[in-house]
Amino acid sequence: MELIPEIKQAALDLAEAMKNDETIQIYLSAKEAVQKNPEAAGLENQLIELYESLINRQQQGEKLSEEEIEAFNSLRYQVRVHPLIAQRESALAQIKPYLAQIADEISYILGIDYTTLADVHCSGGC
Amino acid sequence: MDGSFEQSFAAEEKALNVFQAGRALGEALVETPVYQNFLSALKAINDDPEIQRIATQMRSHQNALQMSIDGRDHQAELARLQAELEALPIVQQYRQTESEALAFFRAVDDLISESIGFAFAHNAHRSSCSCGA
Repeated sequence: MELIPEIKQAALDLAEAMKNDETIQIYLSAKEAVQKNPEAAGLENQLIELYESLINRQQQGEKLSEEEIEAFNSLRYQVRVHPLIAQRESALAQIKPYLAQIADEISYILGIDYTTLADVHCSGGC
Repeated sequence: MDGSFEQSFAAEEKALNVFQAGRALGEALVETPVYQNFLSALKAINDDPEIQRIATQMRSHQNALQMSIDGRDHQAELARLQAELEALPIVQQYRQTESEALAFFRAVDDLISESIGFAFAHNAHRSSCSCGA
């Protein structure tokens, strides 16, 4: 959907303010550290690729072996305990209440919860 | 002047900017026709006596469903009432404006998320949806 310039500018101004915000920068730095670390980034990419491949095969009716599921769980565990990834996830958990407060400012003006309307992962009917 | 005070004042100013920017975005969004149409349609369904009548009946069947062992009759009646509700022109109008509003807000959020590098609304959501998201 094409947005009018006024909305685009207001959305980009908010994004810019968030990028410059010290609290949010803690998460952005942790995220960047993962992206710049070949081991951490590689592990994550490997997990995504394996997940997508397993899901595709399962959707086509194939039964996955226990070894394959175990290998997936083992890789998922390695990703979860990687220090840089764990640090990023912890930083994200810490900024979530802050992000909610920012979204509250939008919701207050709208009179309706912004995140329910805008979260693509939410059907809106809940 | 104390440097630490200046630093703390500057940090507070920055933090305020985030909230001010959020409020400014809200003010821009609330004026848009797509949001105003959605609000009007929402108000219309909330004020409609026919919808209230169907909603009351649906609540009664939902309550009965929670308490009864064999809920097939209540389930069938609920499905019938839901279909009756969805067939009303006022509800179809609401669904249309709701769909447009969701597409609009998701486009706004996509723009913010692409710019900051993570999903804003999804991570700002206070609780997980009952839909499982």
